[in-house]
Amino acid sequence: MANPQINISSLTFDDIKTSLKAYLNNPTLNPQFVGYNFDASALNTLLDIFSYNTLFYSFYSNMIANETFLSTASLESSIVSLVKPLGYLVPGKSSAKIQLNVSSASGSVTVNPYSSVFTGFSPSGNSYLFYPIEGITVSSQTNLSIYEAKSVVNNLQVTVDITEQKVFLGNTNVDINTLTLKVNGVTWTKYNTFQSNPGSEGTVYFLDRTSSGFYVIFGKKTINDYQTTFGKTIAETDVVTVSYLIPSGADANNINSVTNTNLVISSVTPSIGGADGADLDLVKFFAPKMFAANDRAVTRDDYYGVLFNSGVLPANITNINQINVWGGEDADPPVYGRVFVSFSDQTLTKTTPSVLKCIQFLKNKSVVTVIPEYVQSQIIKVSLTIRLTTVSGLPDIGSNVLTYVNAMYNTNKIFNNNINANDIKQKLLNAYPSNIRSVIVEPSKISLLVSASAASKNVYFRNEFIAPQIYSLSGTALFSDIFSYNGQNIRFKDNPTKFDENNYALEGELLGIIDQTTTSVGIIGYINYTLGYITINPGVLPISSTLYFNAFLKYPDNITIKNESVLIVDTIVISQST
Amino acid sequence: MSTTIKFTDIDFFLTKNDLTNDVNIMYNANAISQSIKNIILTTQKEKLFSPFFGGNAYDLLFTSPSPLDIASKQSLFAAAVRNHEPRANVQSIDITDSGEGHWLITVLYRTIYSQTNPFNSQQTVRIAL
Repeated sequence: MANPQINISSLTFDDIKTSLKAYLNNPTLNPQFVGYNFDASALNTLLDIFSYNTLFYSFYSNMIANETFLSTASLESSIVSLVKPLGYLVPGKSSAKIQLNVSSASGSVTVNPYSSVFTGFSPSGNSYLFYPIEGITVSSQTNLSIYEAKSVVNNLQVTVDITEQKVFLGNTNVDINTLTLKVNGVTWTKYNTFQSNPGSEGTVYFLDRTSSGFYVIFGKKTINDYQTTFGKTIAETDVVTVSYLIPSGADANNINSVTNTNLVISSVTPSIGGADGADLDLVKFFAPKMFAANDRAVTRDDYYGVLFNSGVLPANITNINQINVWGGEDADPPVYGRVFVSFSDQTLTKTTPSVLKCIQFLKNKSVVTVIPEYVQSQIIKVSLTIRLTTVSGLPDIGSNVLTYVNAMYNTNKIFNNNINANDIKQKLLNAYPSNIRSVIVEPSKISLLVSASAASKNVYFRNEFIAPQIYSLSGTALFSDIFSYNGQNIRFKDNPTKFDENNYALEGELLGIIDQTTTSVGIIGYINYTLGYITINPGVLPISSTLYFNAFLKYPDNITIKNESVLIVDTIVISQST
Repeated sequence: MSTTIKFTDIDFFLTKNDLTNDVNIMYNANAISQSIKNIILTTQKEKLFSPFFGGNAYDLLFTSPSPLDIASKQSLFAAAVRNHEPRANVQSIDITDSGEGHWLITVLYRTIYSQTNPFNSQQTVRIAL
């Protein structure tokens, strides 16, 4: 009798044991023992040991294979090691950061790096200490960034291993973004992996991550030229000092109350950016992109990688979905020679200091003739009605559904989101399988908050409007909130004027309609139904005001937005039980 | 009457057979008896991937169980043997106090290892704790 085929592809304990039993079941191979198939027999115990041993080694082999490749590695130590050849340094803990607007209580006040203490109080009453990492003198209103730390190392003199030209910082909790290194009182800069050879006099240092801390490494001799060093070396007489913060991590986020004895603090942005360690998924995502881009911004992905490694992102932009980058050719209307960047926080404008820093940073990295430009994000609100039929006798889940949908769209505002009625319906059915009999999701109008402008203004909804037919002009695709124009309270309403061969509206006028009546005060703008935008004539909107425009879409069940638009939902849940 | 060798197993203690220079082999009732002893003396969750295997006999050591506890243990032993040793048909299980917290467990069972005369063999396993 031929040998039975051994199944080596099933690697659970039971499968391995079954495979061994099948092998022993062959009387030619095993003429003597028949007790292997009884749970408590000694032979069965041996089979258990063999199966466990096989399982152990198959798991071990699987882990080795997984941890060898960046895309499947899961251990931090493996990822740290795998991204080293890509020139990517995995950070440790990150300090929560607060941006303050401060002025002096009297005269001018000197803020010293790593030593001027600010006390922050969390909403639950815990106190945290914050420190600046750059020194400034405050005499008038000044912006200041401070970083949380539970311990501070300030101007600590360290001993350099002269032979190896390295110093070990034995703590993985060091926030390396707060590290300042001085040699003989002169600040040296961290070497950027992709910058050119700093030469033998370059005052740069290198950082290397290990599982127990960070190495600071100084000028090394290159392989090809023994006489030339890659950066300046440290001599025995040099005095090297380091300053850095060891943060509490994520616990120090969301602090919005800060005090300091010498300064008047006029505004505080809640602390953000504190993290207990590197987000390994982000590291896996960005390290190859950084390597591919070589610190140059050419492709769209390069911009994401360069921005995330820049260290100048606004503190509350921590996720890739909070950044959108698109080429000018994809803009409406196209603007060639530009690349647009937008952050999902709509309070960030072109003049926000951190945004200015980002754009300046990108200008140094982008291709000549391609100019990076920031576009303030705008919120598009989709009105959503969810009609639930629930199982009678079970608790009402209306508020749960509302929370669920809000969590999907409103909690973390991200780009490139879309609303698909069928998707939402399916997710609700999956989330509450025993409560919901049926569910109908009806997106209706979308609303856009528009800021007034003295000049002509285009407002893009980026979705095709519902287009009334020539024979049914009573319908409307767009209307606005009420505003004051020439002393009268009016609202916008569309008026189709140009039709296609099927008599569907293509373009139309925006009429000012006196509220509660149909009297028009004339044409004060235009609407394009197909491309989904409106043009408002100059001087119509009152200066320094905002106004909601509401539009009905041709395809409301699947709304996709792009570029600087961020999508949120305004949901009503109507629940009945049967 | 000749006895057919139906079940074989190796000795749990891996003792050496001086004639064959190999490990000693257990046959029929001996193989089954050591299997029953293994079941009763194993504590549940002790055996990897078989959390319900075992009789938890060591729970009895140095305790003073009530008659109800003894009855409960008897049924646990019987169920464990029934689930994991299909070759044995348990007739009775006695748990007797040997003094100073020690116990003697006696399992009386019938088994099928003779093709010609099924259930002809009544066997006893004694386990001292």
